Amino acid sequence: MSRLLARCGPLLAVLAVLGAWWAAAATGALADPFVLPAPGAVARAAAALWRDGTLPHELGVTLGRTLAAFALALAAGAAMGLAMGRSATARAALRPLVGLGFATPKIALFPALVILLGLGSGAKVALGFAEAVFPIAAATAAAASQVPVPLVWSARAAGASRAAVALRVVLPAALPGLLSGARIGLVGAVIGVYIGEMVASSDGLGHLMVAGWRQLETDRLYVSVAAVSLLGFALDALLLLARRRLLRWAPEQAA
Amino acid sequence: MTAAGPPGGTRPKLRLAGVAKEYTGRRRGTVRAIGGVDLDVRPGEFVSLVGPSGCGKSTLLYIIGGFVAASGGTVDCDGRPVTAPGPDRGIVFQEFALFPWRTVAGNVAWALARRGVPRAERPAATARLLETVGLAEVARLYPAELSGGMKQRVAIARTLAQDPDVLLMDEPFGALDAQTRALLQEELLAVWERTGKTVVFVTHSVEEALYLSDRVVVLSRRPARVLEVIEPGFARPRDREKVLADPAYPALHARVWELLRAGGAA
Repeated sequence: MSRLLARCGPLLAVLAVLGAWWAAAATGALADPFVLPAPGAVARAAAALWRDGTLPHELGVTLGRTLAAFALALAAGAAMGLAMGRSATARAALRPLVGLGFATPKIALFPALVILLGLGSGAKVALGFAEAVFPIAAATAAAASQVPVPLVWSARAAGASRAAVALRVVLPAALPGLLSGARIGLVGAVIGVYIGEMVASSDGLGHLMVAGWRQLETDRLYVSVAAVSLLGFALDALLLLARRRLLRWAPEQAA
Repeated sequence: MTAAGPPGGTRPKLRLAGVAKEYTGRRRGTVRAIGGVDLDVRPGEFVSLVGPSGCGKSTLLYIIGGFVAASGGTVDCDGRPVTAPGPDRGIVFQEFALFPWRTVAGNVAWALARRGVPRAERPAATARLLETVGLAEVARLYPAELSGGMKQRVAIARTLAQDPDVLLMDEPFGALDAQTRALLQEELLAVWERTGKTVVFVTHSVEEALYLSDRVVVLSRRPARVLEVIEPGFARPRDREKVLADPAYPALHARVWELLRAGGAA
């Protein structure tokens, strides 16, 4: 019984939220249908947007930008984190940068990014990158600085060069921490790209949301919100799957 | 202190001359960990370092390994000064230090690869090394799936894979239960007798040092110096029961303890 509940729990929770939404919309208890359209209306709008090709297109645009931002942030964040974790010089040089970047509201940089990179994908990818790179760098740095010394020494004694130690000992040893940072970074990339599309764009899910708002078609607005949430959820689930595969060797980490 | 040189005229495998180590800490000022150690280890010899807890015997081992720089004196291996870690000096740690993301076979094969063993020859060489430490069956498991004794066997196999002349062992059996420890001591002796490696073995167990070693180097408390070098002299190959029953054993045991107590009195 409890196992059945555990299996169906997530589904029940989603149904409960949808039910509450429907009830609130149907009774007009929370707000009128213009502010909060019923789930059915949003679903119909989504189906229509899917059929006419708008939703697949905007989803594809946002997905492409998110993946580009995340891939760049993963490469840069991991490299910065490894350097900070293993070299005192790199730590001294990068720590203030990462600390400041972590705290900066990235959206404040967006006008500058638009001036630099234009109204196309560049500025959105850059904003997603800025949201994603700092948590990845910070988590990788923390993990890399905690790699047990005997592990590094064993490798050095076996004849591994410093570069080989960094790539083949420190990197895999820091992988659990790196992947925890990557999870936060991935969601950050989705948010950064979406916000960039909201502020200045002619395509993408963020643009769909703002267009729905401006044209007073609130059901389209909610389609966009639901779509970007599901996109982030699906990407996070994929990352968790990859993490489970990559960390097979550490049963307690893979859970 | 007199230089603790081996008898006979062969060139030493390792020569420590006036090795000293000082740490400068922010809060406690300068701490002298090692106060000048002279020691020669001849090729194929099994030497143990014993001393009071915290006397710097592990640090001395790390200096021989080239992992930690001495602040005074020199370490020569085969007549060449030690400045960095090298494949001629393998190390085994108390905490095993296996790569948890590699399988048992992967850990051993990794060390073979660093030595330049061609890819095609690695599986057979790995199997041979795992056979040596009695672990042929678990080649495909990950370290997390092994017991402590098995992990340390893998670590020994991985270190043997780099084919070092000198085996540095830092309390390698200190984390194991008494039975496993006794088994691994016997296996280590068998491997040592077969391979002829030079072993420098750090331990806090007087029994272990006397049972395994050609010479037991007793160090003082900080700053560590050589108090005395004891040669147990039991016949090889050694048998634990015969060693324990040897008439000379109690006196040797008592002597080491006496030195540790005198040197370790705070």
